Amino acid sequence: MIGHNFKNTQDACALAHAIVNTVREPIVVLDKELRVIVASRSFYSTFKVDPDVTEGRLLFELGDGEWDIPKLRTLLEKIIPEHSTIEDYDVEHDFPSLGRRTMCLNARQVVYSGGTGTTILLGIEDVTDMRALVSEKDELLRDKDILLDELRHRVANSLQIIASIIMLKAKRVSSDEARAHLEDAHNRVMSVATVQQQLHVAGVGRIEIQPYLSKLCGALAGSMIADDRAITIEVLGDGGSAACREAESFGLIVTELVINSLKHAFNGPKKGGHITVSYDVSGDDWKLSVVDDGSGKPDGQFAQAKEGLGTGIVNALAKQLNAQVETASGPEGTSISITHATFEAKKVRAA
Amino acid sequence: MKNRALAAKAILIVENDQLLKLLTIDILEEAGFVVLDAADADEAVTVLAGRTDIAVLLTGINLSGSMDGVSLAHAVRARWPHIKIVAVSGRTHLSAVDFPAESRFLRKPYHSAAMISAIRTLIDTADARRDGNSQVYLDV
Repeated sequence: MIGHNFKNTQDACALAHAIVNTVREPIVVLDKELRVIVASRSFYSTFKVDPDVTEGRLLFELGDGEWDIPKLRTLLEKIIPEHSTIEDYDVEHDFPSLGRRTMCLNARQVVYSGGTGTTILLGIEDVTDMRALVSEKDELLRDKDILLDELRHRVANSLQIIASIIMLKAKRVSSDEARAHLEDAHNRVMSVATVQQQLHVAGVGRIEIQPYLSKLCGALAGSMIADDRAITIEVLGDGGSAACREAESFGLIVTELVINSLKHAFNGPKKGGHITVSYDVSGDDWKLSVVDDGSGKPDGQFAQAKEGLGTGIVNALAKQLNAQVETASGPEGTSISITHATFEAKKVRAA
Repeated sequence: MKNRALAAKAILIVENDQLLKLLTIDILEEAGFVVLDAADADEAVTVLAGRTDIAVLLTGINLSGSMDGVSLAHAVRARWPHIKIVAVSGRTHLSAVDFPAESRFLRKPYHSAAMISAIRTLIDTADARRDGNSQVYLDV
């Protein structure tokens, strides 16, 4: 207890004075009539006033009445007597000498055991610069969002221009083979764009894989499956999330494989079909697979155009992800899985 | 019903990017539409005020001048309620709810086929309405 350390009141007063003068936050000690008993050195320096013309005077009469602020009056005359403590009460005021300041007020009423007198401790923190920094930060964050949106807008416009040019060329060439290649190029531009779009929708940081792949497959089904083809795409899995870069690779792999199935697996007499995309995780390991129930290739390779661009893309992305590609193809359909198994997980399984 | 001569069948395209506008005009003309164009919203309003054959407004969002594509869409719906609206944008914060009811919103980059089919559906729906067909299915 502080009281036990003092033999007389003078010592206690000296400590009180020292505390007031030590704290960095400007402090004013007021009596019951709101007369200034004492103020801290920081108060005098922050608000550029002299102790001589401050101590003993009513707070609202200091200077040319520059402390006669309506919100401060409400605080000291109404709120404090009722609640005795107020924290973080913001007051803005134009000081003739200092300009517009934002102050954060903390006030506490001290009631003594003997007698009817009360004292109010009023802490006045000048938060003008801090608030300005906060609002500047908010503004910068807003600017960043606007810039990012502008960038996406430009990329989208550029991709639209590229896709439109390829489409127009495809319509105008006379060779069927050239047209097929141009349409393929058009679809690749669109699939890169679809992956980017879905990543933007998913946000920054870690991406939840299942909703992301579901939306991606929804977009692919919408743009790639003609109305007269009864082909469904289903996304399965037990959740899991991945970094943006990984998610982008997953999206491109799924796009390639789904497009591949749509192009080659369902050309038999049966028009309908089903494609299942699954993503499963176990610790650091994961497995991404695309399985269709169409007509597979007897040689076990997944159906593809001669030049194998799709295979090349999938293999390159798998390599980047440190994953293995396995394919199985037969009369019941084609199954391609990309598996990432870490050494750690293998050890655990072996043990 | 599909092949009958239509009272209004022209498309007005408003797009800030000149190259994209040119390409889109080509694509729409190849699909058999009559296409008019405007550089910004103010020019679009002038064109609309001077003609009666425009069925669809195809607008981008980033436009120079007094209005962006969202404001233009609402202004056109208010003044010419029969004109159907297709809005295209690469901006991620926009969606169909930002546009008047029964408008179509396509995110850039879109398949040209998707844009053409959106425009056809809107024109067919409008025709069906004019013909007094009470069974109208909107694909919005």
